[in-house]
Amino acid sequence: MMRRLDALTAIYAQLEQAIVVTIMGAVAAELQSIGHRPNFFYLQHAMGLASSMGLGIAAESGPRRVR
Amino acid sequence: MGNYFRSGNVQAICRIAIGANRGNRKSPMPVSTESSRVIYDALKDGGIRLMSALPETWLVHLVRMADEDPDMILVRLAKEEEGVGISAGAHLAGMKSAMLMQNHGFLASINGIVSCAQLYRLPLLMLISYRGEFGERDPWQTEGGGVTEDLLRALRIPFAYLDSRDHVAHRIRKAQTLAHSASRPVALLLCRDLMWEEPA
Repeated sequence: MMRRLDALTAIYAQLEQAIVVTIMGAVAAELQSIGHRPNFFYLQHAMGLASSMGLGIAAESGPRRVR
Repeated sequence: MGNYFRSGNVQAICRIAIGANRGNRKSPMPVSTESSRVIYDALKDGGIRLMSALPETWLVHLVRMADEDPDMILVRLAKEEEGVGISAGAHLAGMKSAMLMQNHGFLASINGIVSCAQLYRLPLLMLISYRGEFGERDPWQTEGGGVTEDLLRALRIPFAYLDSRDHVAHRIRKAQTLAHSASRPVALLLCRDLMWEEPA
């Protein structure tokens, strides 16, 4: 089974132009460990709302991708 | 258990669930189109460009107006709490938004309000249909109606009533101003006298 860190590493290059919202916890730490970018937002607490926050950002972000 | 099912409220809920009260219902629902228009226009004047909502009778015209407006993004939710995250994201991206929900939806979104909007100090304009206040005929709305204001106070959410068309625009504008100056959630309670045209 693929480890999450490996999965993040595999898609990291594609996240360069995207706005990224992560949930809190290990995934945030792992993404940051690969290399923080100013377009990454690690939502602390607010459990379950990272995807909703991404949708809200996407509503105003035109063609720029939100992941 | 037997006593529970003989209680008045539960009997009333069961009667309505099986359709026994259907004859008492007039169709269409007497939700005020005029009041809904005044509210909607005030939100537009305040620069609101995104609304989130769930199906709710009192909000039916507001949701329709948002749906028919090409300049409004209407996000139909599966759960009210999602609306908090969507409004948070919209604010971070520079867009003004409003949440439309019933007071029971407010109850369902409390963790999001506390853990997202309040923790991150984000403005959040909530328009909450105030079911279960004086004049309520639906037994199932009465418990939520009885705790709505106490919960708003417990969460330190400033709120005001919208109960007359005369002050709708003024109060929506003031609520928006406070939400942005305080960077906190605020609530407007949509009251029966404003939203419902059926004689009391």
